[in-house]
This record gives sequence, structure tokens and C-alpha cells, in this order.
Amino acid sequence: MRTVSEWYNSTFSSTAVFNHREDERIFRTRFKRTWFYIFLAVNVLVFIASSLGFGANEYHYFILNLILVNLVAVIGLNLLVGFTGLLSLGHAAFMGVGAYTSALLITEAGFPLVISMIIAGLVAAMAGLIVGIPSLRIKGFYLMVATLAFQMVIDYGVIHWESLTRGVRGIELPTPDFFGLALKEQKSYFVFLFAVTIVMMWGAKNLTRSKIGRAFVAIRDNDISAEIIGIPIFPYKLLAFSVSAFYAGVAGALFASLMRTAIPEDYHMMNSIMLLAMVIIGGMGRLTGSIFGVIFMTMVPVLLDNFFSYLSIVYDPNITIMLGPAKEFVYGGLIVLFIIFEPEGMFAIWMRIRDYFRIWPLPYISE
Amino acid sequence: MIDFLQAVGDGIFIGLVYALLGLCIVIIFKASETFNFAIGEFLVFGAFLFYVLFFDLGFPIVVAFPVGLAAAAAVGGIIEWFSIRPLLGRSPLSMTMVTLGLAMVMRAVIQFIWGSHSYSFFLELPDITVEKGEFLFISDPIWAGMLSIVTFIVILLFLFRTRWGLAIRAVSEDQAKAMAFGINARFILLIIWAISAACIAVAGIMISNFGALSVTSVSVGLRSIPVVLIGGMDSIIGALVAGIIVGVTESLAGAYIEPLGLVGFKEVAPYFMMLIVLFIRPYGLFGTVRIERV
Repeated sequence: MRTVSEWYNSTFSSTAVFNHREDERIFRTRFKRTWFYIFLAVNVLVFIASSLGFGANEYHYFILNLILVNLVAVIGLNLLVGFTGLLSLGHAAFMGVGAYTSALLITEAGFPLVISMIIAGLVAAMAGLIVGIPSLRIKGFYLMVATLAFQMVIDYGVIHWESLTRGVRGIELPTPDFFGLALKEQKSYFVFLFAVTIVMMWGAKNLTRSKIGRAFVAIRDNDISAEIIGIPIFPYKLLAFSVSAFYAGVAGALFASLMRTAIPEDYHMMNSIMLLAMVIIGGMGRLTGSIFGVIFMTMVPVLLDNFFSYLSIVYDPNITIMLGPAKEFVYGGLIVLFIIFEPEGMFAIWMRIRDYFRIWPLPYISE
Repeated sequence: MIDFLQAVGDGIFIGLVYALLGLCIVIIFKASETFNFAIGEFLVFGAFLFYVLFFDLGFPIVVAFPVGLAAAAAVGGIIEWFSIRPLLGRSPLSMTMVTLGLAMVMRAVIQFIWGSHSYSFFLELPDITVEKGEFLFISDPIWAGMLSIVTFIVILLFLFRTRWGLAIRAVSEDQAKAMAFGINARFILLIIWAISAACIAVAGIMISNFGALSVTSVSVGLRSIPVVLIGGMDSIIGALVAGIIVGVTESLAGAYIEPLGLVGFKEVAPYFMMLIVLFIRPYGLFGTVRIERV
């Protein structure tokens, strides 16, 4: 029979790490694992509550879905930008490739969403391989611009290859289904998305704590010394590109099903910049940071929407024409401010808060 | 053959404007290894400053033009002061990403002040349309090309024939060394952004003169990306050559490829050109080759 204090110590306060294996665990302390279970339980409770008719409604679940879809894309981009140090301004184009692949498979060939989603990811990964080829010879800024060229080419192709993509009208998608089970409500789509996101997050986490992830980080920190210690750089760079594009392709397929349509303007260069902004603001090279970044950057436009609709009621209905510029202003301003004042992103803020509360009630007792 | 020469000629005049845009990017890149993604916004902002002085306030062009450029330079300097200066000493890529954010903020500010509808913009320059036999070169592009090449030469003279230009070149060569020789590198960087903003404004005014001025013109700024990558990020002569290459490519694509049914291919042709150059010569036609095998 353990005492309460023993239980407390073993659950919450044992942070000592004795070997590499323990250091590489997904949940390094039981504390973290406990919080993760609490998080899952809260999600289930919110879901049950909303099924009974109170709490979150369909609109809330739509926003949650948006966050989850963006999260999948941003995890992928973070693997490329944050872990491998290869900048990409063409990620929305990978999403577009995935979205159109899945839309065509679902509407023309009648594939179920899960299979078309995976195929969309694979097609996007192939595109990623092709875009990654210049990384053999160029890096840093030049590579960023090469991906931008890919973005331009996809923008053009999606709009003008009308026989395949139906141009600016886009492709309408049916209700998403999970092997015959129609996910008609946002709420039920949320359950599906949540499962997919957990799997994708788990995959990314495992990738980063394996040999491949360590090779990525070595290439990011210094590519020449990475090559000297025996990491074949080019295959790993290509791998980073294709994995990242796979995530983006899956996210694109999920996004198209969420919106019930695949239209060119959702995969424009602007969206690439927004995805990059989510990675930067969340914290590069931090998967936890990506979660913060995505939630924050998805909520900002939503809150601005609500704020402007409130203003238009109490103040002047014409003010809604300012909504678009206001969103851009806030987005751009946040990018600038975060890079100047908090280059490590929201993850650094989170770490500071956590370090403060770790010794919170009794700060004079050292660890 | 006449069609071909006509298309090439049209392309060269537009290409000179692109060359000027390329020059604005190159001088900033040489000094701080930063790519200014906000170039399209600077372009529209500068053109709007001129618009206010010339059309709204009714100043004569000899006053409005220099004052407008000075205002654009001031805006460039202020923006450098607030957003680029705090980042000195950090990775150049973070500065490049700041300019992505700046682009969004500036676009929003333009829309807040001037809205997103288009303004008619006509400078009433003397008509110098050239019409000889089968050839027809319209007045406005000729003016744009001539003014751009004049601005280009003025900038070159400033860089290579004055003491300030010497200081700028020294800072571009090596910031730390220049500072050791007593050059105020921070101030020089501010000057560079101001000059760049002013000559982007020249390009903006010339481009607006083709038709109308509106916030959608920011997409012209993206045209400078293939220019500097084809020419080489740190080569002034490269900007001139590549500007003309991009202009001619665009015009030839418009004349020969678009009639085949590829509507709007003109817009992406420079990017294909750029990808080809990136594959063959990754540092551009005239850029400094950095020997790195990665």
C-alpha cells in the first residue's frame, strides 16, 4: 500500500531522466501522460455534452475541424522547416494537389474518403519528391524561391487545366464517409479528424525521435558536418520533402471534404505564407509549438470575424468591407512581431509559463 | 518574323522596368542578404504617394515626382527602422520572413487608406509612339523603359561615383570590416532601403501609367523574383540582363504560346524560365558561385 505522497511523487514530480531511452519517450513523465489522458477525457465529455444538446454546437465543431486540418498540414511543414531547415513557400500547393486528387477519386471513381486521403497523400509526396530535387544543389533562400515557383505553376495549372480541375468553379464533393458510415455532421467528422490527427501526430513524433529525425536535425544544424558524420544528405532531404508533402496532401484531402468543395483559391500562395506563419509563431522544430501556433492563428481570423460582425451591428454595417484587410493586417503584424520579439515562437512562452509553475507555490525551494 | 521582332521589342521595354525592380532587390540583398518580398507593396504604395501629390493635390509633375519619390524613400526608411533594424545580427532568413509579414501589413494599410477599387492613372506624357512600316511601339511602354533605364543609370552612378556609394559598396562587401573602417553600417542599411523604396516607386508609377492603379498591382512585384534568380541575387548587371530576358520571355509567351489555348501562360512563363536556370546554374547567370556540395 503506497502512501499518498509516494503516489504523488511517482506521478507528478519524478522528472529525472537516467538514460537515452527514457529521454526519447513520447511522454517523458507520467505527469505528461496523465495530462494527455485528461485531455482525451475532456474531448469525450465535450462530445457527449454536445450530443445531448448543450455546450459546443456545429459551428464550434467546424472551427475545431479547421484547426485539426491545419494542424495536420502544419505538422508536415514543421518537419520540413523546423526539423530539416528547408524552407518551403509551396505548401498550399501540396495541399491543393492532395485536395484535387482526393476530390477526383471520390467524385469520379467513388473511392471512400480514407483510401482517397492516403492516395492523395502519396500523390502529394511524389510531387514533393520532384520539388525536392533542386535541394540537391540549392539551399536556404534559393530553395524557398524554387518552391514558390512550384506554387505558381500549381496555381496556374489548377485554374487553367479545366478539363481536369473544372477551373475556378471547383469540384463539389459529397458528404464525407467512413467506409459507408456517412459523417454528415461536423461533430461526427470531428471524431474522424481527431483520430487521423492523433495518428499523424504520433507518426511525426516517432519520426523525430528516430534515426531519421536525428538526421533531419543534423542537416538543419550544419549540413556539411552532417555529411561528414555519414548522413547521406540528399536522400534525407528528399525524404523530408516527401514526408512533409504527404502530410500536406492528407490535410488537403481532409480540407476539401470539410469544405465539401475543392476550389483554387484555397490553395493560393497566401495560404502557403499562412501555414509558414503558423509554424514560425508556434515555434520551429517543436511539434507542441505547432499545436499552439495552429490554434492561435486559426482563432485570430475567427475572432476577428465575430468582432467585425459585432461592430457592424452596433456601429456601422459598412465596416465589414474592412474585414479582409484587417485580417491581413493582424496576420502580418503577428508574423513581424513574433519574429522580432519571440523568435522561438509560442513554445518559448509556454516553456516560461511551465517553468514558472513548476516551482510555483514555493519558488524559494530549489529543485 | 515581323511578329517576332515586334514581340521582342515590346518585351524589352517592359523588361527594362523589371530590370529596375530587380536592381531594387539586388542592392538590398547585397547589403543584408535579405530578399524583400514586400516589393509589390512598396511599388503600389509609392505609386499611390505620387498619385496623391499629382492627381489629388494637383502639383505639377516636376514637383510631384521628386517629392513623391522622397516620400516613398522616407516610408522605406521608416519601415527599415521598425522592422529590419531590430533583426540585425540574426539569420538573414528571419529578415526575409519579416518582409513576408510586412507585405501583408502594407497591403492592408493600402486598402485601409485607398480602398481596393482602381484609380485611373494617366500622366499625359508627350506621345512618342513609333510607327514604322509593320512595327508599332506604343508610347507608354517606351516612356516606361526609358525612365527605368535612366533611373537604373542614376543608381549605378550613385553607387560607383560617390562617397556614399562607396560606403554602400563597402557595407555590401563585408559589414564587419566596413564598420571597422568607421562606416555606420546601420545608417547605410537605412539609406539602402530608402533608395530601394524610391526606385521601386519609379517602377510603380511607370507600371500604373499603363492603365490603372489599384492594390491588385502588388502581383507585379512577384515578377521581380524570376528576374533576380535568373540574373543572380548579387549581380547588378545580371538584374539588367535578366529583366530583359523575363520581359522578352513574357512577351514571346504571350505572342506564341497563349494562342495555342494556354490562357494566361504569360504569367507563369518566367517561372518556368527561372526553374530551368535554377537547375543549370543554381546561382543565376551572373551570380557569385558559392562552392558548396550539399
